[in-house]
Amino acid sequence: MRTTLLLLLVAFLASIPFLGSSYLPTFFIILFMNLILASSYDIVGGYLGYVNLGHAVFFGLGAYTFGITWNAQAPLGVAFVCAVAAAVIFAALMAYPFFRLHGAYFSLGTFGLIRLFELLAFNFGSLTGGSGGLSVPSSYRLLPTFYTTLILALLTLAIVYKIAKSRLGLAFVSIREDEKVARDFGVPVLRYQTLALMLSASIAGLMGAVYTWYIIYINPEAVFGTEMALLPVAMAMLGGTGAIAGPVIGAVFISIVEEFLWTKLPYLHLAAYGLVIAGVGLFMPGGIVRVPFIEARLRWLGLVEDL
Amino acid sequence: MPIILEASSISKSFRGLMAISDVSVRLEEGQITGLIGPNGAGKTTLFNIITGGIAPDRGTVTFLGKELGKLTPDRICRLGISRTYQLVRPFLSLPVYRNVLIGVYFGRDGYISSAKAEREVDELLEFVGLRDKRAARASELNTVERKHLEIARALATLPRLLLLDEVVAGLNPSETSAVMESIREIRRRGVTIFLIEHVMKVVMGLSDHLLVLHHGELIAEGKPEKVATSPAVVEAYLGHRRPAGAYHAEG
Ligand SMILES: Nc1ncnc2c1ncn2[C@@H]1O[C@H](COP(=O)(O)OP(=O)(O)OP(=O)(O)O)[C@@H](O)[C@H]1O
Ligand SMILES: [Mg+2]
Repeated sequence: MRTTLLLLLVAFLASIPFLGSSYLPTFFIILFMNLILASSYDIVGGYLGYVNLGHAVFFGLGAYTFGITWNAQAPLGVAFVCAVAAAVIFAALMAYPFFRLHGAYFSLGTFGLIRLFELLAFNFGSLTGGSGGLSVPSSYRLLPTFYTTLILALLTLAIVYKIAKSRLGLAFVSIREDEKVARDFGVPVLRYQTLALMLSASIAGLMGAVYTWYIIYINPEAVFGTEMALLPVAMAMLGGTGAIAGPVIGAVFISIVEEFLWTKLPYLHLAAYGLVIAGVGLFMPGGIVRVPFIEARLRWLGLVEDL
Repeated sequence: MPIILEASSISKSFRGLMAISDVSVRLEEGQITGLIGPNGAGKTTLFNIITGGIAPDRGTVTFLGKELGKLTPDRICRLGISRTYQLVRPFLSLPVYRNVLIGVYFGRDGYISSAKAEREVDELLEFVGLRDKRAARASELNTVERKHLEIARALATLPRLLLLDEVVAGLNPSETSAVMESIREIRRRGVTIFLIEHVMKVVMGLSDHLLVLHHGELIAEGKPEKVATSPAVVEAYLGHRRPAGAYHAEG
């Protein structure tokens, strides 16, 4: 029953381009991208319990690395691999210093990181194009992007689901609950923190590369801006962190609102993300998935784990 | 009996305050060693040093012939030392069985299959009487149940040495005797036990050997009956206006 429902949903999503509208695929690409960013953020934010405001660093690193290597005549596949490698290697490097910070210090530190990368992208013009941005060769990519992001979204959810059910996920949540106690009971904390960050970074880095490939033009503000920093966090928190359905619901919700409301109020995005986070904290602690009525239904679908 | 753990000349100060001062302890394998002392004597600090959470300023800890040195707590746990906390610290938002599973998966050396792990978790929950709370979140348990959960989680790591930090504090007399029976059973299964306890009836009833810590110094050790009535110990407790015999009023 559940499997049938999920398969039907996937079949429906896959047939969207054939519904005759060229607008729908564009919308769903954004939705899938939001979902991928929110879910990959949640590996660290929800399961490991570290609010990483620098998740967009991985996205941006992937986006720029892809653009730079592809423009340097690297084959497409190699450019994608380089993008993922850049994000993952950076995650491995930042793990040791950043996981010495906890709570708000970690969040502020990672937020600082994103400003740093924005600055670097502005100032290393010879590599990044500076404020002028970076362009890659264009061609028709709407449908390829649609299916790439759809597959990447499903893959992300499969990975998160697998993590949540495995001992890896158990190590992550034990660290979230009480790092000292986790260590006292045999969990090599730093190793798992590093692993969580690398996993999270690999997905965001790949999404960044796909983004550049699809959108053709990127600049520092677009990939390292405050909006990109807050978006995954706001979506995950709205939907509910540390449960596979949470970031999905948050991403769907915010993508729709963004599409139909905020296009008319472009400068209000940031304020709106702030309001969403504050509102969730006030009225829906734990996010949409933890509203009892919704939680019961999701539980039946097997989409809320008893972590 | 061989010595399972030896702490030699341990000292530790916190911002100038000597919490542990030149303390040496030897634990015999298979025994129950009691550790008593007034509040702030440094008992919990000694536990934290043994499990690697706090590095001593001076001194060494040797476990099963291996010097623990700068080993991290997770390594020390996998070598076979496990503990409970004075103020219970279960993983609150996780179900009871997942709390114990963490000990099984990560607290031991080597790989264990999920099926075997789940079976062992159920056995442990049975042992501490939490079988029917298996799926409840730890946050839904009362203090007594949380103490039992901590014992199960500690046993899950298959410890050779178990450190119990005031496990019966807050329990009523019948719960206390049940826990005492469990502790004896754990020892019968070959686990060496080091326990901090304020309730004299419990320490005297369980310990083969008793240590007394006062202001960070080891002031007496030996057979429980002898130690409890030794002048230095009576003096230490009287200094706190609480004679040793009346100490069980605590908690
Ligand atoms: N992490 C720490 N940082 C600073 N001071 C500490 C720390 N841990 C313990 N202390 C101090 O060291 C002294 C010994 O504390 P400890 O907790 O070991 O005592 P205890 O014998 O377990 O007492 P109690 O019976 O109250 O549990 C106390 O003065 C305490 O305030
Ligand atoms: Mg103590």
